[in-house]
Amino acid sequence: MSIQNSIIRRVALTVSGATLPPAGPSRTPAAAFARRAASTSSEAEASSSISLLSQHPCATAVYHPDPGPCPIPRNGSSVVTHINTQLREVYDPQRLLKTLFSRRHPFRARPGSVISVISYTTPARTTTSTFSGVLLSIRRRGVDTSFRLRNMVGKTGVESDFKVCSPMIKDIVIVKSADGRSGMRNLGRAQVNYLRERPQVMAQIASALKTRAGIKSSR
Amino acid sequence: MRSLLQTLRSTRRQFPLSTPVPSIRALATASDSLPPADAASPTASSSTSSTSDASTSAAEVQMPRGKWTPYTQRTGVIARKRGMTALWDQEGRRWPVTVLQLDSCQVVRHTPPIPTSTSPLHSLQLGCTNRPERTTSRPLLGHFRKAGVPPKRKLQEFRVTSDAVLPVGTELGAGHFVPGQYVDVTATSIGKGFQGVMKRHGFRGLKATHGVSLTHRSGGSTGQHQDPGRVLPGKKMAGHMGVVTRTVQNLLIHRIDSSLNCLFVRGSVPGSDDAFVSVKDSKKLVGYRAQSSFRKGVPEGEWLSRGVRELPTPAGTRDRADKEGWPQVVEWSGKQ
Repeated sequence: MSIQNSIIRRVALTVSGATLPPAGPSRTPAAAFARRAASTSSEAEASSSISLLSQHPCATAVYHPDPGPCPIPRNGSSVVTHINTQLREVYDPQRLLKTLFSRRHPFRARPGSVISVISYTTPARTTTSTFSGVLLSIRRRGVDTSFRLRNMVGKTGVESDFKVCSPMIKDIVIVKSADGRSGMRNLGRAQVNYLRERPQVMAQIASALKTRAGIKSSR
Repeated sequence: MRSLLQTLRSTRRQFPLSTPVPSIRALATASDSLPPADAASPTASSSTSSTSDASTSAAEVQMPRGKWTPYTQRTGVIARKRGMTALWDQEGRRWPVTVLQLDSCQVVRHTPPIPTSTSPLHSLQLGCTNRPERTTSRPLLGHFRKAGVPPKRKLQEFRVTSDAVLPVGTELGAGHFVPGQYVDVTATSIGKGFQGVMKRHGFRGLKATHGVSLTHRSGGSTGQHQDPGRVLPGKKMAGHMGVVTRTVQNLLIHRIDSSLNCLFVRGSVPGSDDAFVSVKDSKKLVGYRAQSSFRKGVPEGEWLSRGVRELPTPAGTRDRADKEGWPQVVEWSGKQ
């Protein structure tokens, strides 16, 4: 009887008096995704109903980047996963992360292959410079994926890291793939840092790159 | 009719900065001559005036609404640290950013200043992240019911000036902060457990070789000799490290995303992912910098740096951003 009374009391407390208000028009992240997806699909109607300001009212030195397409979030995925999916669409239109720098793609860049990177030298993106070398390792972090090349410049070994999604990179060309077919054997490792102690291999790669009449961009 | 600028400047000359209260009271006498607030100010959307009038005391000054001044203290915000990623700006520079998401950040309580206190600051209690009723204790349920908001997981108070007071129930959005402004982020640091003296206090330890026996990472001597003849309190030793409140100052807001309600803040922030962090306007690079610029006579839109003209006052609420049609994704363009 006492248990029944306590249950009735508890029910009465929740039902009677000031009940807690609902959370209002759903402001959960999932609802925000839905709203954003709807707005991007029907942008014309949205712009006519709400007059969007062209500029932020409080700031002068801002711009409005295209956030990218709004993917549908998977159950349990966090905001950062969703943001990274969007950023991949914006920063990696060529889908290099899915092809060249993936783990399983048939034409992926393998460690030990010779790669050339053509990158812009200034923010104005008028002039380019080329760095070629043997691929030592790939660091896979989604949008932050980077790879390291090593080459001999004169007698000095030079290593350079490049971010795959950087807008300052114009082109990445695989000069010789280390798949065992086109002259470079598969080294069987994810990271071939031991090439730092193999000056003969590095000298061969450097001379082969020098004899090539410049690396032509595929674009 | 005196402008706001003239009024503020005259009070600054009459009263030194060490006594802020008399200066605000002096402003009260001049407040009748101040121009009325804009029609486009947020007072229409958030009924600030009615709530504040009811709760203000006789000594309270009605500062002009909707206009940010260097002496305005706006409310902070409670956010969730969601993780880090990288953004590239228009010039091709990469910026590592921390994603802070405002998860149902609402005002839960407003406490006006006590009449006997010298401080004119109001107190706004904010709540973050809704939680189910069944997991909320009965005292807290009553507290949220009184405010008319869903139960929250985290509560925190922020001190604000009277021109930045918000009605209870107002939801804050990412538009509260402006790309290009600086913020201070406070959170509980990651726990490291019981740590030795080298990690905890940065001691250099002892030599690795040359006869050192079994004490390579220890702290060495703990004091002097007979005088004082004891280990002084506060001696740095091994112990628990982490799980303390830490503030990282002067982090730049690189991008805001009002649809996801996220702030992209340059640099790193204490705490683990999904932890509660509190984000406030930078005390030094917003507060002191604007006050110093104002005292030097810098024109009105240039008090803050990085192209930020002003900050949304009383706050950048979600209603305001929706109704006034603020752009959803805004990024700092990196130019002055």
